[in-house]
Amino acid sequence: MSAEAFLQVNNLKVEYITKEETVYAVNDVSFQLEKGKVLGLVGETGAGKTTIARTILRVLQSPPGTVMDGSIKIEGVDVLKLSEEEMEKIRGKKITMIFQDPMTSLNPVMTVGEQISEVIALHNDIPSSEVRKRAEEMLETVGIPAERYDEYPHQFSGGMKQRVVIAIALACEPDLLLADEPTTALDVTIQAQVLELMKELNKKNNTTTILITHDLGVVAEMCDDVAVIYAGEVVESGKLEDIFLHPAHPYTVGLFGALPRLDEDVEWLSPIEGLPPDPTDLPEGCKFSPRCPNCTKECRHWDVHLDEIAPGHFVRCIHAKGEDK
Amino acid sequence: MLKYILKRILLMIPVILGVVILVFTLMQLTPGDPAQVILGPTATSEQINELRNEMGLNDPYIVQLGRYLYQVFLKGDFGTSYISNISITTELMQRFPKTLIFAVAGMVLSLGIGIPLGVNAAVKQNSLADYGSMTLALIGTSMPGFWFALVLILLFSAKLGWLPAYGTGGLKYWILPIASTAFAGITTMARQVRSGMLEVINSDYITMAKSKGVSKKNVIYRHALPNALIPVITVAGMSFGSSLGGTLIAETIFSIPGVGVYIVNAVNNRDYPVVQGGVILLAVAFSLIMLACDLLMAAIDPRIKAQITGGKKRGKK
Repeated sequence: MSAEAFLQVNNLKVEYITKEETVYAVNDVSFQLEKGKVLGLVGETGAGKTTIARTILRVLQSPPGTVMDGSIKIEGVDVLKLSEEEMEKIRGKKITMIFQDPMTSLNPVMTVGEQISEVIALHNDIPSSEVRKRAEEMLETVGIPAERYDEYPHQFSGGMKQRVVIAIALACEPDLLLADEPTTALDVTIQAQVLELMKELNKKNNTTTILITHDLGVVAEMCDDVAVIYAGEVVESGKLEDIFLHPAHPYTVGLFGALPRLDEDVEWLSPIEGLPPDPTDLPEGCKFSPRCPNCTKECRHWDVHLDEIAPGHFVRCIHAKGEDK
Repeated sequence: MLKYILKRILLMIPVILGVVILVFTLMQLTPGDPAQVILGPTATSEQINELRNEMGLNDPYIVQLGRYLYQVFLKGDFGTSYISNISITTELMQRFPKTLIFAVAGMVLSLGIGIPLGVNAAVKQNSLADYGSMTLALIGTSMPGFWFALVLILLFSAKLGWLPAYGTGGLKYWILPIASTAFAGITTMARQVRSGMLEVINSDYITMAKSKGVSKKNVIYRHALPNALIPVITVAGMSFGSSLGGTLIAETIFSIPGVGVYIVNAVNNRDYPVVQGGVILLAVAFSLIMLACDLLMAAIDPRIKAQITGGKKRGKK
C-alpha cells in the first residue's frame, strides 16, 4: 500500500458490546483513498458501512460502540488517537458527514440558517455578519433561496432538508466528506438532483468522498473506487471498472445478479439466497460461505484474506485466485 | 401571536365561569349548614331558620347562584367570610403573597437545581452521578412531605437551633418551609429532565451537531436541552399552578398564614364564600400559568408556534 494515500484505514475493528451480547460490526477493515477520489462503500443493511463512517468521524455511540483495534490515518494523522478537543476542531471542518435520514438530522428548534451558520462560525474566525452571508451563499449553492434562512426544518420538504444537510457538510470545504446513504430517504427525482449537486460540488472543491450506499447505480454514477462490505469485512475492493466489469467475489457477482437490467429479458431476478449472518455469531472461515454458490469444504474453515488478484483489485475469496484475467 | 394571546385570555372567561358554577353547586350539595355552624350547637331551629333567611340561604338555588355570579364578576367582590366576617378579597390578598413566595421559590429551586441534575444524570447515563441523583430523586418523590418537614424541624430547630421552627418573619423563617416543599419539586424535575434528555440525546440531530464540531457543552445545552424541555414545561407549569393553591402541609406545620390553610379551614367550617373565592383565585392563576406555558413552548418549538399562529406556511408533521 502506498504511504502517501490521503486516507488510510488499517485493520479497523469495531464492536458493540452490551451485557447481553457482542455485535461484531466491523472486522478488520482496511482501505485507502487518494485525495479527491470518491470511494463507494457498498453492502447490505447491517454490513457495517455506517459504523465505519461514524468511527472515522468519531461519533460512534459509545457505549456500546467500541473501537477494538486499528488506525484511521488522514494525511498521516491517526484520528483515533486524537483528544476529544482536537477532534472537535476536525469535525465539521476537515471531515464532515451527511447523514442518512434528512428528516431527523436537523434540529427542529433551530432555523436552518442558524444550523449552517453554526458550523461556519465554529471553524472560521470571521464577524457574524460575514457568517450569515456565507451561510446564505451556501443555501444558494445547494439551490435554496437565501430568503429561507430564517425558516425552520419543519417548513422544508425532505429533499430540501437533505440539501441543507449537504450545505452544512460542505460549508467549511471539508477535505473528507462522509456521505452515509445521502439519497436513500429521498424519492427518485430528488435523488438524481441531490447526486448531481454532490458531484458538482465535489468536482469544484476536489473533496475526497466516501459514499455509503447499497445502490449500485449510484456507485456507477459517482465513484472512482469501490469497496464491497459484507458482514463487517471488505470482501472486494478496487477501481470502479474492476468491480463492475470483473467482479471476482461471489457476493459481488450475486449483487449484480440481483439487479434488474434493461438490456436483458429475464423472467426472474436472481437474488442472493439466504440472509446476512448474525453479527453476534459470525460463521467460521469465509463469512459468506453459508450463502455462497461456490462454497467448498475449505471455505468453512480457512481464514480467508484479501488477495490482490490484479493491480489494485483485492478479493477475499480462496477461489478467486488467478481467475479473472 | 398577539391575537392568539387575546383569544386565550377571552377563553379563560367561560372556563372560570364554569369553575365558579361547579364549585358553587358542589358546595350547595355538601351536607352541613353554615347557619348551624355560625350559631353553634346550642342554637334553636327558629334561630337557625332566621339566620338562613337573612343570609339568603333559603332562596332557590338559581337565585343564589345568580346573586353570587353578579357579585363576583361584576363587582369583583368575593363576599365576606361567614365565620370571621372579614372581606374575603382582603384576606386572600394578604395571604396570597406568602403562597406566591412558596410557589416561586419552589419553582426557581426546582428549575435551578433540578435541570442541571437531570442533564448531568442523562449525559453520564449509568454512571455514579446518574445513580446518585436518581436515588435522591426516588427518595425525594417517595418521602412524605410532612415527615420531611418534621425531620427538618427536628434537626435544624430542635437539635441545632439554627433556624426557627415556625412562624413568619425574615428570610430565616422561610428556609425550612421552602426547603421542605422544594425538595420534592427538585427531584421530580431532575427525573423529568433526565428522561427528556435521554430521549433527545440519541437522536440524529444531536449526532449531527457533534459532527459539526460543536463542543460537548454546546451540544447538550444548545441542541439537546431545548428539545428535552418541551415536555417538561407542561409538568412544571402544573406543579407551579397547584403550589399557588397553597402548600397545605408546609403552611400547617410551619404556621404560615397562606392560602392553603385558609381554604381548608373554610371547607371544614362550611364557609362557602371563602372556598369559592379561593377556588376562583386558583382557577385564574392556573389558566394564566397554562397560557404562559403554551407561549413558552411556542417560543422554544417553532412547530408548536406554527400550530398556534396557524396561517402562514404550515409545516407538515
